[in-house]
Amino acid sequence: MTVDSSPMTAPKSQADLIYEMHLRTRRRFSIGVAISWFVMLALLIFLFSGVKINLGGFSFKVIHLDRAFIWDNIPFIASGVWVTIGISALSILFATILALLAALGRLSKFPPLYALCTFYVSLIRGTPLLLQIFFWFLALPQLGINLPGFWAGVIALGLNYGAYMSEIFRAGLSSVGKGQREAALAIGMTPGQTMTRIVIPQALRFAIPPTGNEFIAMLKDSALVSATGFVHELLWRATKVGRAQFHNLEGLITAAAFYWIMTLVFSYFQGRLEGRMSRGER
Amino acid sequence: MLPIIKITNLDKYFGRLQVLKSVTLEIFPQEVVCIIGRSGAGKSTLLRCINYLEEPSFGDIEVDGCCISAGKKGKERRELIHEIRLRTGMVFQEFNLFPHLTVLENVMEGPLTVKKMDRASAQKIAEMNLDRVGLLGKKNEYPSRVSGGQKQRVAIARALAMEPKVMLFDEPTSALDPELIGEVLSVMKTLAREGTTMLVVTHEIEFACDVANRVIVIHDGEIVEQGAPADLLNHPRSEHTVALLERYRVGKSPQLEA
Repeated sequence: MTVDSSPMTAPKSQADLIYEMHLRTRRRFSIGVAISWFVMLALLIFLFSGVKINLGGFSFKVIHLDRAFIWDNIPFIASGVWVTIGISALSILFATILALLAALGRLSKFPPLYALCTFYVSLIRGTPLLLQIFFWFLALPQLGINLPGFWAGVIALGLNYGAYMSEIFRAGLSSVGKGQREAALAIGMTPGQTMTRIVIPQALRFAIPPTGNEFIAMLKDSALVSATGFVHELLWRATKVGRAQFHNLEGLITAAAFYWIMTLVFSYFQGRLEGRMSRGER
Repeated sequence: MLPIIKITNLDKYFGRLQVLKSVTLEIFPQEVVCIIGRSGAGKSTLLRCINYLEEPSFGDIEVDGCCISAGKKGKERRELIHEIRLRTGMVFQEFNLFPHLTVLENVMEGPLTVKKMDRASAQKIAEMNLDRVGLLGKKNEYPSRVSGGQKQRVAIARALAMEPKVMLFDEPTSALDPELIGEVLSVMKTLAREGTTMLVVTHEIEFACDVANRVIVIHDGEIVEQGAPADLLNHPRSEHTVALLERYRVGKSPQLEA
């Protein structure tokens, strides 16, 4: 049997062909998804474009937005983006510290400390977030305690998220195998050194990607503090201008666009972070 | 000569199950002692009781003059356990390298955090010990990038870096692929030749024959027989030793007739 020797191209192996087919299938799927997204986005924009449609004598108009109003008020609404990001970032920082402490406290063999942590988590998870926010803004002043709006928001959101996130950190701590602790103890490290140098660094690595998700969720939950009227973040600003000029539709849609864009941007970074964290693992 | 390890009447219960029954044992300097026995006989538990990774239920553990009795509480207990852990180096079946640290940092961790050495001296000691196990070239890799056999050699270097009086090996080759066992055993043989006191829980009977000064057979939480490997393996007195050797021979015999 002779081999057909065409000198132009090296023959592709079966593995190459299968791999290429696999790549093609995947690429086709991604392109399909991208096009569909684009079409849906176009439809959504069209829905709010105010265009008049004539279908054989039957004519109707899609939702009309007052673009001049949006244009005029974008700077006012957009300046709430930084308040939203600021309150979310500070709250997540506060929540992370609380969550780590609560998760560590759950490992304690000292009953009051263990109880304190479970008590905190139970109390916070057993009551609505909106109620907790109102509590810090509205109930405390009755007791003569007046927190600045922004910080009351940070405390409310931080305390709430800290309770939920303590579960993430607890999972992070228990994801570090018993063998790691034993190896550290066996070379003579104290339980404290074992925690800070061996267990916590590995647990944080596990907990950072979900914390990013919590931050993204927080960006949106931070809108709840607008209900108190004291924090001039995105939603507060949108409803303020919307109500004043009876243009709530435009106001809310503008705010929604900002939230969505922020979420997309942070989700992108979150995805990259997650990718990087998962590399170099065992 | 004074023993380095002296275990007196050690009992250990897991819940209601007694896994060690009044074990008494002495290990002398420069001795290499292998503990064999079937799975669940209590070999690993015995080893782990020595550095208090398992809390003994009753009995005394003495390592290099540092004695702790079961049931002690408080600060004194903490300090004694710490002293004992400084005098013992432990190698685990599952290696337990710290995955977030490089090979070098794994070995430096003890000297740095426990002995409070400065970085330069810690690094010098770590490099010397990595060289002893033949892995200086891998010092900047993360554990996930080296083979199982290499991981275990790093783990040995990590224990050696603390300059322990005695090395405890808990089935060091049981989690390894067969082709990687040799490199770990050969590092252990070198250590034995250099006069390191070693207590090894193992299933490698060949290694025990080659290297050990004494072999101890444990069955159901009790020492049933001990002696020089040649005596014990050729003229076993206990039925449990016979059964153990039998199983080993059946497992290892090349199936020539088949």
